[in-house]
Amino acid sequence: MEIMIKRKKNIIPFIILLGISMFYFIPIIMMILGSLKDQTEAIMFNLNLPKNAQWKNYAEVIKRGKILNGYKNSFIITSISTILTIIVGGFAGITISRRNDKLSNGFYYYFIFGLTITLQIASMFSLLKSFNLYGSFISVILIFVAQRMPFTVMTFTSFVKGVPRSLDEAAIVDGCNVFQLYTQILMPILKPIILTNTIVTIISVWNNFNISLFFLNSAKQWTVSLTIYNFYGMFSRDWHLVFTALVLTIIPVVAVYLWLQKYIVSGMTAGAVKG
Amino acid sequence: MKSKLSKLIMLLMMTMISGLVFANGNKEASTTTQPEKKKKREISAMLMQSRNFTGLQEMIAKLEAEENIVIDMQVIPDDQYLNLLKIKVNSGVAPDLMDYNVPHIYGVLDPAKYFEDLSDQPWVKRLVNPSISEYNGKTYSYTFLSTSGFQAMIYNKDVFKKFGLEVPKTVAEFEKVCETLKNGGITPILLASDIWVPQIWMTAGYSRALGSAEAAKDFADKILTNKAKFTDYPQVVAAVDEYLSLFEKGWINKDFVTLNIDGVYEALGTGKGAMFFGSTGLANSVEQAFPNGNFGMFNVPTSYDSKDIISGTVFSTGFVVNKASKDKELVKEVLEIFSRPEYAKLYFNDRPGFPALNDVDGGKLKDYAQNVYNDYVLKGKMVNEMNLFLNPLSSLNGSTLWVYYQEAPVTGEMNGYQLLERFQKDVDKFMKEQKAPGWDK
Amino acid sequence: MLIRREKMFYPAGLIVPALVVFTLFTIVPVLMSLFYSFTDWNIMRMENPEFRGLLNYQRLFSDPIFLRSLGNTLLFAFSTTFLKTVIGLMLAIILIKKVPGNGIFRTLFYLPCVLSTTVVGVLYKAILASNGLLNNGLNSIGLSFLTFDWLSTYATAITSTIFIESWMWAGFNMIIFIAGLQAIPSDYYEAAEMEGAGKVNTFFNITIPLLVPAFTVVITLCITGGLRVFDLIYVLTNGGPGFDTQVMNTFAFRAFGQGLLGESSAASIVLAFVVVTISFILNNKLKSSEVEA
Repeated sequence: MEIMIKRKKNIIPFIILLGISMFYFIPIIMMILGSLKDQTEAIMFNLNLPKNAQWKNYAEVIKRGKILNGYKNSFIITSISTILTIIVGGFAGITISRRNDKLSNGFYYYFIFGLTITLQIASMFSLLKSFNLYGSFISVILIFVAQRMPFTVMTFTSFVKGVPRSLDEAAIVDGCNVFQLYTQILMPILKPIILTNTIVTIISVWNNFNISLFFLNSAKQWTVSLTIYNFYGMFSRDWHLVFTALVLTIIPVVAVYLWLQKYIVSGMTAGAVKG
Repeated sequence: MKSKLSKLIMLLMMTMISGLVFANGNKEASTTTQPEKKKKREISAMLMQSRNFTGLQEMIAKLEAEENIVIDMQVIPDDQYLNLLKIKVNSGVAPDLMDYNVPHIYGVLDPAKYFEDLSDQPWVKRLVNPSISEYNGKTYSYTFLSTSGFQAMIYNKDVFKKFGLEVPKTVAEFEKVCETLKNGGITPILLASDIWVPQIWMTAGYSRALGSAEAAKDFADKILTNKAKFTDYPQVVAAVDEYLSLFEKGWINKDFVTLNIDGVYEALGTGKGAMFFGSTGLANSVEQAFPNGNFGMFNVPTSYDSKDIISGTVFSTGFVVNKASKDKELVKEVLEIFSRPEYAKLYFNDRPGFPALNDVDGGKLKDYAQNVYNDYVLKGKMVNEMNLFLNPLSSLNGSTLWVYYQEAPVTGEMNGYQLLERFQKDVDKFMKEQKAPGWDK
Repeated sequence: MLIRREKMFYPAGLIVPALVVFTLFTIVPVLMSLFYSFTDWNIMRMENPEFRGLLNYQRLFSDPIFLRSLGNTLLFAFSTTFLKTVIGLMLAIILIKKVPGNGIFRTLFYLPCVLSTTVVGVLYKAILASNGLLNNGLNSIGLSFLTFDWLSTYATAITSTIFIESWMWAGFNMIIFIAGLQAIPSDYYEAAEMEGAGKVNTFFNITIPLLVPAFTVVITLCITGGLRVFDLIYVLTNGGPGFDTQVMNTFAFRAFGQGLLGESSAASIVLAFVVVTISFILNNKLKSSEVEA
């Protein structure tokens, strides 16, 4: 009985949500259908089903766009950037939060200041040149890590505030050293915030376009989001291939998101909300 | 709990490692499996994305297959290309080969300072039109074309036929053609939103208005050395005003701010629109999009050009060699290989044109292109487009002048004089900032 | 207790790697730009910029396009912050209940911010074009009179970018709000119900005040993100029609493209200044209301 009433009560919000979700479905459906159409169908920009699904679009884009090489580079850059971001930013966030003195609070605001900063292309160029780092994966990775620091430090710091200190104290009494304290005691408890930052970092690094374009210097290093431009440009009418390239670009990151999404809410609960 | 986390870290590590292994594996595979082949060599290059033509790709593939020379080609989005080219060259990290229009590139970067002198290369003697790749008497580029062709009205012959229209020879006839089409529910003239499209009217118009190569060169020299202003030339102003009048008369598609070039091809090919002012290169693209279409080209009659001369695009896609390149001999070898007829002809496989070298087959031109060529170019009734003369301003155009051309008909608040007055201010600032000769006071 | 001893277990040295990377690759370039913004640094003469005082800044503030971009930036940042927050909160309030398909809806609403701005920009260009999906759809359901060339006028173009940005990020805020709502102990609501407080009353007197920490995060991220907007505008309108939808970050990029590196640096320094000021004021406001709650 109660369940029935509850169901009825929830039917109106359900319909509202269904309506809203149309706005989210339609662009994605257009993209997926478009990737399976031929050239003349795709350029009509409608939601009609393709007459014959053109799976060969995928074969063509993968080959012509050197997508596999792009995947490889994106994997390398994204995974290293993400691991470094979590380790470097996580340690900083934990330490700032636990020390909680004037100096570390100062550092906290110093990191937060990064939220206000935009990419300085020309200055970065001369900086990398003077370090002799221009055109290397490592330079691009370090730029990404630096860009992620504000958000990572911010969320780790507030998450750690919610972890009782007694836990650390017990571990210290048991004879834990610093390394063990961080990696064996704190890191496992910090899993939700680690995973939240992992997702957010993977998404932002994978999708970034300008940093790779300006600071890599060889087509062999090209990431997958740069390859869209092989199909989207001045003289191309190849919308079917554009849609295919879009789908191929987003598949890995959407997969990661679907896999890890359930941790986002718990990560946010303690990492962002309990200021 | 813990296991899932460590699984994730493991996975990330594994992708990292497999990525690195994969990268190395690739190299080994290509060197070990083909021992009988020539030693693998490699040069780097950068290319504008819209010019990654099938023909060029075939040349590169052939080079790799036969000579085992790989070109590491960075294909750059067009709107970022000039930024990247300039900043890379100026900070000394440019690749071995750099693509751009020749001779436009000489206005963007100082050839003597940055580019290798190619004058002594064997293929230079075979150039049909050596002047386009020369700068102060030296050849600094490898060019593919002797000329890109010319700028004229591309039109759909079937639409003209349906309304019983002939190619207009006078301004009055042109007006009648447009009115007939407009009344028949057809967009007379298509214009694309891409910022380099509207300006084709003016780069052609300015040169035609000035009337001769000498006059155009004199005009540009004075503009570039601060001896004259754009607004000092009423015939140039008239070219802008006549362009703006097309909008007032309702001859241009309403969505010219958003309809991109693909949409224009579509409208022209399907007969929703009748004409499109473009170049031989764009006509090629229209043909590729609608291989069964029936198109033609004619020179637009205008009030500011009574002599009926056509605007030429005597430039070429081409490569310059980085003077700071580590392996200049290899780069020159690649260019020599590209110049061989069996390579060079590939460039024209799907885009017939005018080859740079005298022993290369450029494919069969469309009749209309050949006719215009015979009627105008061969008879000397051609003057080069203004962009060629005003080369040093090319990095300014896309973010100022060309935007004004699109903005003026939207707001209706600028006439030709005001538009050029506004651009003059940008030019003054741009040249002063560079401390160009004539502007340093 | 043993504070000294304890601190040994959180060595400040562990902040150093983050500090070094962040300083070198975020702060140093900004300081360089700050320095260059007082010079005539030009792409054609990169080696020897000359000092020129405040000239670049004077030029910016007398350039109507820059002033316009400043106005657009503020308009964009505030309206997207408002929309993203309100829509995010609404979705969170609906989805905190046991609605059928709850998980799927959450996934779907968050999905857009997983896509890159380039992808979103390309998709929406295809939707908003004069022959695009939206107009085709309107035509096919007999609403032809509503068709419009959406990106061709200032009003519709800037509105489109605002809606698309909100579409992308509302789901992100929804997640933060869901987290915030879950953290509110249920006894608060029970007590309110006992006292006979209405739904509206409960919402404004319990839910909203207790969500203030979530609001702080959401608004800070939205406003800083909105002020720094670049990709979406660049891909979708590239500042057009004319210079109508130019924002500060695209303006800085435009100056960069003209080789005016000093002026470009000055524009990005002004932008950073605007972001710092606005987020500082907002943060103070939000922090003070947090204390009250």
